[in-house]
Amino acid sequence: MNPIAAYFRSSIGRKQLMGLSGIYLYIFLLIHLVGNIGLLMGPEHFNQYGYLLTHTLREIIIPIEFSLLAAFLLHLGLGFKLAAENRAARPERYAVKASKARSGAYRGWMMLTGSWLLLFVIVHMPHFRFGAYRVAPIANYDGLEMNDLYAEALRSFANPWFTGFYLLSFALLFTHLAHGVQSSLQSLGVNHPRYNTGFRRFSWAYAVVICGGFAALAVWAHFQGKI
Amino acid sequence: MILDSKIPPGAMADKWTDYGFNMKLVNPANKRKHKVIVVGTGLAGASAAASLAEKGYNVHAFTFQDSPRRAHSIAAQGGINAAKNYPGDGDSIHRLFYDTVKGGDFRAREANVHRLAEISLKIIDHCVALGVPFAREYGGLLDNRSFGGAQVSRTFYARGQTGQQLLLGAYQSLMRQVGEGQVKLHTRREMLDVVLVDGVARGIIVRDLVTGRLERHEADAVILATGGYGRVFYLSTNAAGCNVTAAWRAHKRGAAFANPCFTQIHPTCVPVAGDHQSKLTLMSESLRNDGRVWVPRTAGDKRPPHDIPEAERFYFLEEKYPSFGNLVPRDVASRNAKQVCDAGLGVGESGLSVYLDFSDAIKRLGEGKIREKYGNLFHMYDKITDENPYQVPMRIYPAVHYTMGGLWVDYNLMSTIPGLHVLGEANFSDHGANRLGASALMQGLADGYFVISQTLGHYLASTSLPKVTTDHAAFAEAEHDAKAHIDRLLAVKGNVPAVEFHRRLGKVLWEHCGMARNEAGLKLALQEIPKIRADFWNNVSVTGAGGDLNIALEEAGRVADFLEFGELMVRDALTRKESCGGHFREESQTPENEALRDDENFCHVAAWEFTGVDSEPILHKEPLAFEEVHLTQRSYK
Amino acid sequence: MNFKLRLWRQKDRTSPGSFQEVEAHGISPDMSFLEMLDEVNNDMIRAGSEPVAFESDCREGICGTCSLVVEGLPHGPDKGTTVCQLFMRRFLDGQTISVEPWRAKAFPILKDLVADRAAFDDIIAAGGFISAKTGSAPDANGLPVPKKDADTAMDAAACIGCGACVAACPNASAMLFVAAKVSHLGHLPQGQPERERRVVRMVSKMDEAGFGNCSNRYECEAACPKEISVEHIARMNRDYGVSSLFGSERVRAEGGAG
Repeated sequence: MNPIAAYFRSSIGRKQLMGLSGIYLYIFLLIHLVGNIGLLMGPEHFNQYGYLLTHTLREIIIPIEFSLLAAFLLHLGLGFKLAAENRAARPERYAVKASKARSGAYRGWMMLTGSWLLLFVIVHMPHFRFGAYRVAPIANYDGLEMNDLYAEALRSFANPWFTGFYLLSFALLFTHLAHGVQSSLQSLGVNHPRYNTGFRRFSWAYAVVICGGFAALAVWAHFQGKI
Repeated sequence: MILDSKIPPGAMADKWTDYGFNMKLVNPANKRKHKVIVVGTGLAGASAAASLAEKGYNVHAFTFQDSPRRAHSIAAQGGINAAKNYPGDGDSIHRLFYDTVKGGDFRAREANVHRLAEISLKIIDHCVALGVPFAREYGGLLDNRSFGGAQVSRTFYARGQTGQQLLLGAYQSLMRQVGEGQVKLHTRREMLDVVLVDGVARGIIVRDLVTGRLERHEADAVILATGGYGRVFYLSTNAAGCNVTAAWRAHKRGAAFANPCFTQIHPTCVPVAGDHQSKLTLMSESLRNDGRVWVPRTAGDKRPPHDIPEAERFYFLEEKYPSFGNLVPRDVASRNAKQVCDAGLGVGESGLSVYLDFSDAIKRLGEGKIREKYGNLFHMYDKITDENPYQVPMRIYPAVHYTMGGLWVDYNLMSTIPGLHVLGEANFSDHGANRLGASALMQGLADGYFVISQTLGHYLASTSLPKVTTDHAAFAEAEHDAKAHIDRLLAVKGNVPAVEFHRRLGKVLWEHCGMARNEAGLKLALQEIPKIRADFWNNVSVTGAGGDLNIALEEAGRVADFLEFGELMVRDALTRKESCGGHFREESQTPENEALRDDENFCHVAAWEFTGVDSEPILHKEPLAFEEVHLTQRSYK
Repeated sequence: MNFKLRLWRQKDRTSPGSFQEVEAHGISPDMSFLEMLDEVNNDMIRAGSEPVAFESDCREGICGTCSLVVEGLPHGPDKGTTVCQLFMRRFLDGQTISVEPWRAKAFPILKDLVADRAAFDDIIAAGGFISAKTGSAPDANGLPVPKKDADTAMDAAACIGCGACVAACPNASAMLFVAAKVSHLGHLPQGQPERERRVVRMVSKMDEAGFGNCSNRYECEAACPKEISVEHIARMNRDYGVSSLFGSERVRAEGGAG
């Protein structure tokens, strides 16, 4: 077998691809969050930001979006594949289940939380990226017409069910990241007794910042929209 | 039966080197045509299989365990000796040779021991090359420590797991050859018989322990590396599976059994806690480097150890043996522990233990240093006894540990059956009547890596071996015998588990053929053992079927062989009316209660020939000559 | 002490298994778990029934033969302990204790509580060694090894090959076992010449055997009787990635074939 192909078919090779695609996705989340903080700066700033991404920087952003899609699909596909293999590796389960590891149970929920996040993306993307459910209102700044995403966000988050769905997703994303960030480092071989506590804290901190940030914005938008 | 030791002529230091030149060689192209069977995959067996395969022989290796890595060599803790003289404290090949002959109380063959001392250097080199993680100093060079019975630091070690690391090194070499197709590995196979064709060992019968099927395997030579028989005592530091079956069945086919009464009682073991116990646990002898052995001076002193003032403690080894102190050889240390306990000074609930105290060493070196040196041993002791040895002194008592006796072999490691070679603890050759600490690993690896790979070639090149297949009548007969033995065990249908007979046998042996032996006791044992054996064959319960994985059948088969072998051991002890090394006859001691040899009458190897289960064996003597090390009374004062 | 045991009984590799309930009476708290099972087995033999098959040998925690899942935990509830060194004082009088074999596709059950761990031997045969012919070695002190490297190698080499890591892993992955050997030999200068080849071949053999994938749950480390660290897994991940993507052509070709 071609050695590169062998690597991509091996357990470790695929875990490293999981890790790398995961890292790419969680770095994207950070940038996404920073962009969304623009909500707090008012409609004009936020809508201009949206316009910048979809029109001005279109040539750069589209390839990036495709690469994110690829990473997402890879992460997803490998996730399902590895989970299926893992189930097959123990055809008969233990009658009594117990654990000696100090780690929380959430580490075992990657498949579950991951599946939920897939659902989330299916809901989220058409809405905010493609505007499929409803044509967003148009805003006009200095004669330049653009989608009024700000208004759309506030309108959507005014719905408590919508906000609840987002908050639940962020909570699950939190558990996914709390294990995932650390796990990606381990899969790529980043582990050193001197720094492991640091890695673990970094992993948690990253998850807190990302999910806390998104959740805060959702709550803010909910109350902002209602007023 | 003729006992020809085949010791090469020439000066002691040149014998092995000259042998290399004088021996016959197998043409490299012909080596793969020779099939060699190795039974047992411990240090000796795995290293033999690996080195023979490296040389090109077609090797078939057998173990009764699920993997070669389980062999009991893995449990050796302390270390391995080599006359490297890295510390520059005056060690040399000659000194290691001298110490081993003297330590064995002049009952070993000088030429074999000298070869062992020579090879010791190469063993360390080879093991380091294989990646054995020996302890090192900060400069990156190998660390040494001194070990029971030696006044130089010549012991190499890997924490308290030296045996494990050496075995894994040999195991990895073996598995490398398995991967390359040079060795065919047969796991979960128990050897039940050696097959002789025209008086020459040409194969074995094994039982597949999973399916119960009997298998025939033919070869040009058979190597047994099946370990010692310490579990004949039931309670010993040996593993639950250790057994004498392969060696005993070879004996029944004509291999002489030498010095079976030479058994070693290890001084530092966790004391017996109750009847339920299945084995005893060894605490490495290296503990005696830093621990001090003592008991209260007055009998019946029940105060906790910390409350007994220094003046009221009896450091019996330090007082009796000022120059060796706590580091006297094993037999001496064990016997002294027994003596103080017999005098009522023993501690613990049963009164059958002595203290091994680390408080001085902890004060001197700090707990951290002690933890680094002995951490795993302290942890193990804590687990078993529920006592923390960093705070209270350990309690220890002697236990059966190693057997110096074994199948008789000549200088080429061949038994009295042509073609049947015996390595490691299974043979009798190098330790005489007492083995020094850190020498068993050395001998197992010397035999396996370096000796047999030379001497087997000489045998194969100088012997004409007609082609034999497993259809030969001798195979059919041996298989039939093995099957009959199994059927007989299954047919008894009594109601007593085999282990109970094993315990009874063990008690008789420990009492009458243990640390101290006398004529009356041995004679009593000679009457008792056949009774237990008869009872076994009338009342043993072996449930389950023969054609299946059956642990009851495996155990019963091994116990049946111990019940026959135990008798031979007692007979040997009775016949050897002298004390030497681990064999202490109460009738033969110095005024200071030390072992008193009788070189006039017993300076020989006692090799027994089998004549039938209930018939007396025939004794053959191989006289021992001491040219280099002169016969002296051992003294460790 | 008395216990109610639920012992896994299974006739052979292919037959379905089930629990047998057995009472254990008059057990001393100083007995090891296996000695307790010995007693139970002896009672069965006396009663004319077949004892439960389980494996053990050294009974001092070093040979790696014993392999029981006690109340859902490989080697039982104590840390850094094999089941032969687990003592009954650890349990409550009258407690019900379930005993199961190692469960993994790569470790088929041969009978009752006996699982076949030959896959581990195959992995070692694929590359878990240093190729040095007997008699060819230079002087042992010819190659200094920094103490910390020797110590780390020893930490990894302490693996007893019992398979508790596989048994404990939610995915039945063998990463800790393989990593321990890769890391042991990889930390030593003697192990460098075959370092790339070794990791590629061992991992490929591991994958072939049907073990699951690592999802960094670290149950293996918690169950390991020798407390071997998952740090070694990270090291293997690193070594594997570098060796298979950037290793010399020869290594890659052989690795692929292995």
